[in-house]
Amino acid sequence: MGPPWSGSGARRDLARRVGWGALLVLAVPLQSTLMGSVAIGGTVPDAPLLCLLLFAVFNGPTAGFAAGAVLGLAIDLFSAGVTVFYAVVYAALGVGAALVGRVTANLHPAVLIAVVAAASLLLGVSPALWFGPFDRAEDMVRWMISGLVPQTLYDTTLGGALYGVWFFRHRSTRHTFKDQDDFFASGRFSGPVR
Amino acid sequence: MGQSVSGSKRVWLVAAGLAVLIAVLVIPDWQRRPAVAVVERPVAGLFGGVQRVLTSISSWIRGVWSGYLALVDLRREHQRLQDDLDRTVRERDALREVIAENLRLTALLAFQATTTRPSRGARVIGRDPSRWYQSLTIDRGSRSGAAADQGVELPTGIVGTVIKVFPAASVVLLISDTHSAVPVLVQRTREQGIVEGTFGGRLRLKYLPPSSDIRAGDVIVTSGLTDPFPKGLMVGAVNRVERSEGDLYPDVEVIPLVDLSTLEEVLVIERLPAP
Repeated sequence: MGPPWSGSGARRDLARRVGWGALLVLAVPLQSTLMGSVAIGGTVPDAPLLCLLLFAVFNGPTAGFAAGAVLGLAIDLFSAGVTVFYAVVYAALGVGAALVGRVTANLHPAVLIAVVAAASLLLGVSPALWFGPFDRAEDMVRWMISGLVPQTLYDTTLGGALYGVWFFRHRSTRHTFKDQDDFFASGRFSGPVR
Repeated sequence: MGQSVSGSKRVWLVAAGLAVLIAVLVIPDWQRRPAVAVVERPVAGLFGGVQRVLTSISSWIRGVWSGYLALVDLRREHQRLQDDLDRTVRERDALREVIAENLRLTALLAFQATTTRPSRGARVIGRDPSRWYQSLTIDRGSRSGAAADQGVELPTGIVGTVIKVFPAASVVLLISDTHSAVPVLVQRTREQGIVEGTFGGRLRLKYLPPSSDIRAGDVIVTSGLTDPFPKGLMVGAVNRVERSEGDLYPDVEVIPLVDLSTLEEVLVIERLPAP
């Protein structure tokens, strides 16, 4: 009996589910304990966000929504927030990333990087929009310079690198419009061509 | 008879010849003579050459053998020493951690002994997982007697307030969070205000009287007006004071005395029983 991923489809599927589950369960504890050690200038990469986006892109909107809600609730629980704010935001990001990923991920890996950048930026801006905590304009500028921009850059760089590795390992061929034209031109397609 | 005499003579002659040869070879003045050198040089050259060849062969064999053996031993020795070094470095690092922790805990215990406020030590086990709030998680929950609205401090100053309590852990809102507000007073002038967190880990002192004489370097302490902090706990030092036309209150930036980014152990202030 070999490893789980070498056996039947059901066993591979189980191993995949366990792997995704472990990734999502560990994301929040990892963020609150170990991720501080890879901080650059006080900016800590957002492990729950990166895990959620990766999961959502490869598992669809429903799974993305559920995973985002659970991750967000865990963050709400162990952060100083008293609402379900992050549960809502993460669920929305999970759905959004899954939809965008489903439509565009086959085009180019850079799309995934753009998704990470947009999600990180939205996650950073959303509490400011919701709570509106800035008494002064200079506070907002300071927050943007020292918090929002470095965070987005760090998340995008790290997430882009991870997704790039993931993408090239799991999708060795990308289908372009030229591939499609070549396929139809080859005569192997037996159906009606309009 | 004659034969025995001639034999004796031969012996003497040989002995005398050997004596002369030894004398020739031993006496330095004789060695310098060209006739001796003519004999000595080829012999010495021949034997020296053979000797050198033999010596180099033997030393090559000895070198190869001992080098191989030494290399094997050296490799084993290197591995053993490397293992020893790795273990020693690990032990040294662990020891440094223990010493540092010991110093911190000793300071906390000494501080507890000097104050009349009852408090309990707690370890920091996590940081806020969100990027918006500034809080930390400690390993003391309701099972250990922790409750919401307890103050958290260090010998150098206040840290924050317990806001969420789980059975085995609690969440502490740091004073640098934008949602934190602590009533304080300026130690020198006794003027009262509110210290709030800002983005970037610094504090802002608000609501001082417009005529306040506050200056950079002034120490800010808790006023004790509300829970959870009793009066007189250190909060921070004034870093910058700005007065703008049209502003009612001076803009005062305060740097917390506690380095809130490197906390490992804290003291949770126990609530005094109601009188």
